[in-house]
Amino acid sequence: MKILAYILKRLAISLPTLFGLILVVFFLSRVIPANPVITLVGEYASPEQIKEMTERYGFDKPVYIQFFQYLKKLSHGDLGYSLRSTRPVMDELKRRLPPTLELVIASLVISVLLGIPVGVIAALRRNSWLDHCLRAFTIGGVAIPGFWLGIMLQLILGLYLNIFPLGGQMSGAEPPHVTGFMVIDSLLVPDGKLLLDALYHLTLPALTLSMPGVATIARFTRSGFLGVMQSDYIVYSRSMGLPRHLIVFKYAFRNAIVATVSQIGLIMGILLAGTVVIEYIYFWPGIGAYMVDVILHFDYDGILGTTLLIGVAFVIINITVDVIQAYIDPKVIDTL
Amino acid sequence: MRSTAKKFLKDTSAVIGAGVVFALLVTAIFAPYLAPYPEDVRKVHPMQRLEPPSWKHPFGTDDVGRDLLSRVIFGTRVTIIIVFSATSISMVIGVLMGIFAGYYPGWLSMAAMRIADIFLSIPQIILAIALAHALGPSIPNLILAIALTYWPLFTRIVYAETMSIKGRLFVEATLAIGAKNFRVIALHAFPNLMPSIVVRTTIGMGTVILVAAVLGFLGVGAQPPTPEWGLMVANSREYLPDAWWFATFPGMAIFVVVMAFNMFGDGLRDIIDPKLRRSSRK
Repeated sequence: MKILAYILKRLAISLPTLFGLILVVFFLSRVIPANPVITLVGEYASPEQIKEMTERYGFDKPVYIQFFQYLKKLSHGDLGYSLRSTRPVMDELKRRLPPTLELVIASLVISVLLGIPVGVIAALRRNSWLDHCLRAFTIGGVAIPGFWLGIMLQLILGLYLNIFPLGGQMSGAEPPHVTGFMVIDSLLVPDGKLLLDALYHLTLPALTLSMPGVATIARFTRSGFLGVMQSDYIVYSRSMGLPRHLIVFKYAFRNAIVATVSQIGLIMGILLAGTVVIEYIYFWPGIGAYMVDVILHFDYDGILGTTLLIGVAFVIINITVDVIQAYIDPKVIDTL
Repeated sequence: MRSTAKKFLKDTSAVIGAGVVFALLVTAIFAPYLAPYPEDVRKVHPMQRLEPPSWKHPFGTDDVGRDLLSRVIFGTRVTIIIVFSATSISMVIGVLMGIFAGYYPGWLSMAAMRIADIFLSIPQIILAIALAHALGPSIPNLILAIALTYWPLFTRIVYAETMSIKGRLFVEATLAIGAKNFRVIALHAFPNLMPSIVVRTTIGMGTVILVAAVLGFLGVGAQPPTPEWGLMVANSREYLPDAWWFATFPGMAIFVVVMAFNMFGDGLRDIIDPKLRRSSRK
């Protein structure tokens, strides 16, 4: 009950921020001197055509009126039309959300599966050469430009060794649309060939995207573990002569991991931000690639809709993380 | 103070980082003397396009025959200009707003912090791309786009710390003996804030370089023929897989420099602000 009240409170606090986000992005996009209609009808359109389109999209009205019209549409769940594809923004986002979620979830899984062991090993072998190597790896992971790593992987594993495809989500045939997640949809058929194809296409983008995630998780896990290993109850268990694996995995792990879980929100932020470039590099048909596309083409409603979606996603992620944390560490509930 | 320096020198990774950052500065200053072909920043040589690395051109040449090593060397100047101006502008905005909001609670401060929240509600890179594109692609606009989306990180930290400093006994005592608010801020709050500002700035520089490179890569930042590393990687994509050197070296330059700033920043943090050790990084 307390958690439910907390969630509602957090949602209520988030609403003004999201409204502010729309406001900022709206006015920011309208200061552009360029006329978006020209990108729509082409440079060689007649002045009448331009005028007609400008009026149809309401760009001839004062900006604040345009803003209220947008809010009015938004209150009906209408995100407007994408100038670029001339389709409703809502449809575009619905179609592109599953590929992005698939990519982000795959990267999060990789980050956790690689990051936690790396962090634990580094902590247990503190100040050894292994720890130093892993530290270099974790510093490098957040320093490597995603677009460059992506191109290098495409070059070596895609073009030279021909192991992985260069981009896209599937080679050709797609499984029937159920969830939009290629991996899940091919499992539902079930079709091994399609599943393999989906995983092949997912591997490089997910690996590239997960780099900073792996590094960040490894860092937090290492410091969390070091902190816990020095605490009294672990020192006590050690002096009692309990076996090391029991101490590490049964007593230390759960407490050490709290620090990492509390940072999942941050890591999701890093991953979501990364999709912008990674999807662009790998021709991944998701929200990130769409974001670049609409920004570069002054697609107003597209920009607003995508920004709003990402803003909402952040709110949901942060609340979810807090709730998960409360389940892992009951002490947290009192602070909610 | 001496023990601090000693502690820093013992941190190998921080020393390497500081060394690379120093080398970057030296390279940027002496670029015309270090580059084998300084004129290649602009001058094209159609007869020697896309030549692989050789003694004559250690990094090879690009699509219009310019020496890549020279362009990577001149790229240090672009990077330095972007990173120092963007971080200083956002630092000034962010710190002033943070101190103000932390020191004078009220509706204006509330508003300032809510604005910071709005900017932090989606990834900085997205706002930076949108703003850079809206302002039009150029280096000054790129700097502005990064600075205007980066300040909230400073505001957040400074705000929280100012609040905690304000509640401390020595500040209350200073006010009680009749000191003006300005004096408290300038002589007491600010010096106490300095360590975390310095740490945040150094660590943030890596992020700023990465964001600038992404903007250049997407074509909304530096424009040709500026020797900007992200832009060079973007240009190289058409010539893969044959001209591997074209994509490899500029990207590696970004990687090395960002890594150096991060290593240097981590070392500074461990010394100046041990309580922040290995904690969050955005």
